[in-house]
Amino acid sequence: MRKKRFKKVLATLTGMAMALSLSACQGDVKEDAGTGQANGEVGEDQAAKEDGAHDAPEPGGEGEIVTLTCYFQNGNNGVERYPWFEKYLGEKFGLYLESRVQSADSSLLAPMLASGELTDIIQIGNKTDVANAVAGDMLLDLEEYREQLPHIFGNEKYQSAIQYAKDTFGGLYMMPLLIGESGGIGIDPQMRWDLYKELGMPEIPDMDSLLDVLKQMQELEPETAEGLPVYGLGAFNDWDGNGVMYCAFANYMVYRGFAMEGFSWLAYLKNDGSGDVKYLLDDDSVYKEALQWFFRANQLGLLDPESATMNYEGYTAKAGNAQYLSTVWDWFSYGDPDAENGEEWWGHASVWPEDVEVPVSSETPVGASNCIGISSKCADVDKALAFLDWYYSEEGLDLLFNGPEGMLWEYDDSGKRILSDLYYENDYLGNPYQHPDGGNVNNLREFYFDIAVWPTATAEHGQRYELETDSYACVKHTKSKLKEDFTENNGGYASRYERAEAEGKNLIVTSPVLSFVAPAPDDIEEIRGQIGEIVVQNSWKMVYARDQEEFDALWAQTQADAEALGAEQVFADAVARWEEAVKVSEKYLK
Amino acid sequence: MLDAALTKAGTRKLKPGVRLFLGILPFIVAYGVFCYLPLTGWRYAFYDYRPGRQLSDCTFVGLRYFTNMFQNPVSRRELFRVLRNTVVMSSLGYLTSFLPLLLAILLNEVRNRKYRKFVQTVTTIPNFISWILVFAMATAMFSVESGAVNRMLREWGVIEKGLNVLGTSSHVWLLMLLLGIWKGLGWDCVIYMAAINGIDQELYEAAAIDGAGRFQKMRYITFPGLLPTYVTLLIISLGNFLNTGMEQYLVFENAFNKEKIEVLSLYTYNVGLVGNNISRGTAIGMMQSVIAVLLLSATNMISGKVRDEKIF
Amino acid sequence: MDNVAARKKKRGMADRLFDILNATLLGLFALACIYPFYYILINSLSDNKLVELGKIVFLPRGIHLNNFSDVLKIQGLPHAVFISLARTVVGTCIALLSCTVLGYAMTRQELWHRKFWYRFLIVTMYFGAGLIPGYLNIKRLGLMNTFGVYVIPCLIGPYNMILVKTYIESIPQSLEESALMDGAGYLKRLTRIVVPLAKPILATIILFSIVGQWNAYMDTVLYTSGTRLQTLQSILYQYLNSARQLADMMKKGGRVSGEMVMQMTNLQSARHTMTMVTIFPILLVYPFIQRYYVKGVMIGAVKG
Repeated sequence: MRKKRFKKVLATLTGMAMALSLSACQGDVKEDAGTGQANGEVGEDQAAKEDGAHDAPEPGGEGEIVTLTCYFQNGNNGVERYPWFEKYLGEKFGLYLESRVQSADSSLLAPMLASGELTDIIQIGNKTDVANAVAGDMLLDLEEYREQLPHIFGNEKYQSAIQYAKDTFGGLYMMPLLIGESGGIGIDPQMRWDLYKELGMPEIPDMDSLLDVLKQMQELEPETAEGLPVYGLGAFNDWDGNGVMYCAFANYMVYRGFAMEGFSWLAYLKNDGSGDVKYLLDDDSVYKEALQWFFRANQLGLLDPESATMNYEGYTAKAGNAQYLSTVWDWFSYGDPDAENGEEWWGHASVWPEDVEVPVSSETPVGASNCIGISSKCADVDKALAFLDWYYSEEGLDLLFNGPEGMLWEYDDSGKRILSDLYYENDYLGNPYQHPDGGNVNNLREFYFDIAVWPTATAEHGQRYELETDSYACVKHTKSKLKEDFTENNGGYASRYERAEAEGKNLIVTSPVLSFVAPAPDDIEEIRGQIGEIVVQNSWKMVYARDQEEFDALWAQTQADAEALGAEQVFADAVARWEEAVKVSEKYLK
Repeated sequence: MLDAALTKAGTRKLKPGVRLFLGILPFIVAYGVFCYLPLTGWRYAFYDYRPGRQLSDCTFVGLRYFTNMFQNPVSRRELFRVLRNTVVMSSLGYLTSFLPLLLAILLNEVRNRKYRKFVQTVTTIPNFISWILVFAMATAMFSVESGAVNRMLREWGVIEKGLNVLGTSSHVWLLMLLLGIWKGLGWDCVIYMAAINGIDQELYEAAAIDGAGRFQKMRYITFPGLLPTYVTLLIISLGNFLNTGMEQYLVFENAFNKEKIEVLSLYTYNVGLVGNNISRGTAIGMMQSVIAVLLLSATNMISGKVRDEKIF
Repeated sequence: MDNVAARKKKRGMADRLFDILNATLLGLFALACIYPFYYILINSLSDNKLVELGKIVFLPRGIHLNNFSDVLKIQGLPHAVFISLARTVVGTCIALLSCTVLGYAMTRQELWHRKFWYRFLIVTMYFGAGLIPGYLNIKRLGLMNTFGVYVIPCLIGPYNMILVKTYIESIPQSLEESALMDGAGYLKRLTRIVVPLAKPILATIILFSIVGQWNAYMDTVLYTSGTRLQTLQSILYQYLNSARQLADMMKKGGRVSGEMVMQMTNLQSARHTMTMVTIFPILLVYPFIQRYYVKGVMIGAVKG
């Protein structure tokens, strides 16, 4: 009884401290944030916190610093690389996080599980491991500490995730991450905007005519300024592995609105979950279409002939060097502000063939497969809980995504957040800005944590969590000649995605059901490993086949081998797991 | 130390052999603790082991992880191909295993000491360069469009179109062998350099008096002097006949040379047989251990028959 | 008489020819071996963008020192270097002790059940229990998060032990037997007679051990937490890993900003730096080791 009351007191104390620092941090914009809230409950919650804030001393700052160990399976580097953050945690919670470094093959978790002892704070990447940890009684049931986790239990948007975790593991032993709205697109078809303009911006009705346009562009610019050959597109081999040639998947199947990753090998599905689950190696499979498309690109001399021996590093180097006229991702268009702004500016911008359906992430109301929890043997449960609660709070998220205010971001006159000059002078140019206390300011998230929400989700202050993805915060960003010109020709929209959103076409919303698909059983996994190897190898050979005849023969061979290895069984399993996921998800999706 | 302590304690009465044994006992215990004690983990191979759960809660699966690989004709075909690659590359390695010995002899014959030391030091460097970097270098040299070698050959008019050395299955074995030699030769030679210095100098002096020339000394003194080391190392390494390592092949692997480059360890990696599943990983490791020990015993026996001398 | 002189002259010619050929051959091979070192050096000095493109092959271009100053900026570098040095020195001593004592004992026929124990030691080269049992073992022994986890496993070194044993066996038995008549104990025989004679092989083992200890990082990853026991290699490994992690994120479809892509280029320079750090000890230590590779050790022993 006494212990419980003690905890209660502590819970209020931490809650108050949090509210205090929250109000201190938010300062003058708090009102602004408040007006943006439509949700009454959240408002109440905040009010309650402020009520308590009056008679609370701040627990941090004094007393000794407690060391807790932590392991973030999807992160990598310890907090040691961010002295400023270390200091922050010390001052705020009296906490020092000692991290266990993640090894390349993420194998550290298994021995920890086997030894029955986890780190005090732990992040685990898949449901099976969590279930095992729960079976071994290694995790705290967070439900028992409701009062100490106001930002988790008091936040409406986390509730279905909590419910799902409880149902899955028989209690809230771990809190899911990446909950809720995700938004944004991962793949954004790009091409050389300057050359496209030079061609008179021809219509591109479909993927095949995309190749024709690229061919014309290649004729305009057969080699780079340094005299290296220019190709329509490149591919690389080291991301192959889920039983498909990765680039064929990303560069064609995804454009056409099909999902596969995170779902299953040998089976694919329309990204929004509509229609049937289809077999990858059917004769009318979109995957075959993709390979055919690449084959044609190669025949036209558009595909980098070194693709098969190239890894991702090699690809980025060549893409950064303007050797590719088109890329799948928008990140290469950043590259070089000088090129985008000079007299003869050039660079990539989004140009979409008219029939593409670019996948938009929608929401993962129950979180992704990774989650965070506290070890049942934790050395200081209260501090761990305080940290965890902060981790899910708006304040915590703000810091994790963008660093402290006044460094890489600031408020503009209207009280909205924008990226600061320091950002454009440092991080934007690829030299991460160093905090006076040491360590990069940005990228806490990338290097260290998977976080409670998606970076592209909308925060309570009305802008996106990660300001680099928020179009308002990036106003200065759009000021290159290339971008101005692009915007002008894009109906005034700064990005093709925004235009597509406004027009309501060319986008396909990813089905949230995909995140409910359970992992395949081991024996299936083994078979598909063998099949996947053959598929990948033959895919490359097909792309570089001499003629259509060889292409067809290889395809037939692949089909036959896969069948002999038991592809039918793998496919049936995929269909079954999808149907199961649909059923399970009904309970959590409104 | 222990020896002395034991003597003091009045163990002098013990047989010398036992006394010596007591002296090395602590080290033997260390081997027991670090190498043999963990072997209890081999029992995971027979269960569907999930770390976190008690072994008693896991299903017993018997030999499933050992037999799964041979399920059907296609996987047997693949396995056969992979074994062929492993055997070929391993054998090529053994055929060239005398090279470090040769290098040591040649180095030993260099008269200028500074030059010898220089060569000796420098040749060990490649051993410390990761295969990933070797691959980066190979790409820089052999890249079809911009590789230094292809550019040179084109400029000299030797070839018209760039050679795609890394993207073809012909000569893969040779390429891998050469790279392997280049990387390991200098370092492997270190042991022989030590062994050369262990050869009794009186033998050379006696030979000189008998009028033996330089080549005769090499042939009849240095070479035989190194042979025991060579044979020992060879036999030791034969146990690892199937464990060719994987990194080298992983970085150079692509769809076009996979047919010939994929060795056993790379195959288990590619198919995802190791890694996620602890039990399966253990089973594979166990199989490799057993094969290695069998091979070792066999070679040792043969060596015993042929050379009338067993290593072990 | 004429005949002998002519033969001698002929031999001299052959000798010289061999010397020239030999020196050239070795020189060429040395060149092939030094090139990668040079390659890494010029690549770590040149413009990172050109490096990525594989443009730096023979001459450095766009020289800058940022890659090196970046490494020096790493938090806690001096401490990590200290730990690396400490584990190298202590670990090497332990390894040396273990393989010398065991190697010597295994040459003594009178050792109680010699054959059995020899096999007992050697077989350990061929099997491993796997990651998890190894981890549990270290934990049970209470070595987690201690310096001991770096150096105590150095007791195990069957390969080195065999090298020592083979080498000692090649030493003429007469030397030790003469000592035996003086009534010297095993320890005395080992330290006074065997060790001085086995200097070249012991030097080799020191070299092996130094290199192994200096370059190890997996034990840091598996068995330690925090910065207290971090080594230089493990820090560099982290940097390599973080770049890989970024690539992984992109693969999973995470949104990535241009600035992060640029951070990817650190991958190359991290790799170069790591290689430099790896090669460094060998360049430093090997010349000292070579002092023991001098002919005539044996003669000195017999006479002294």
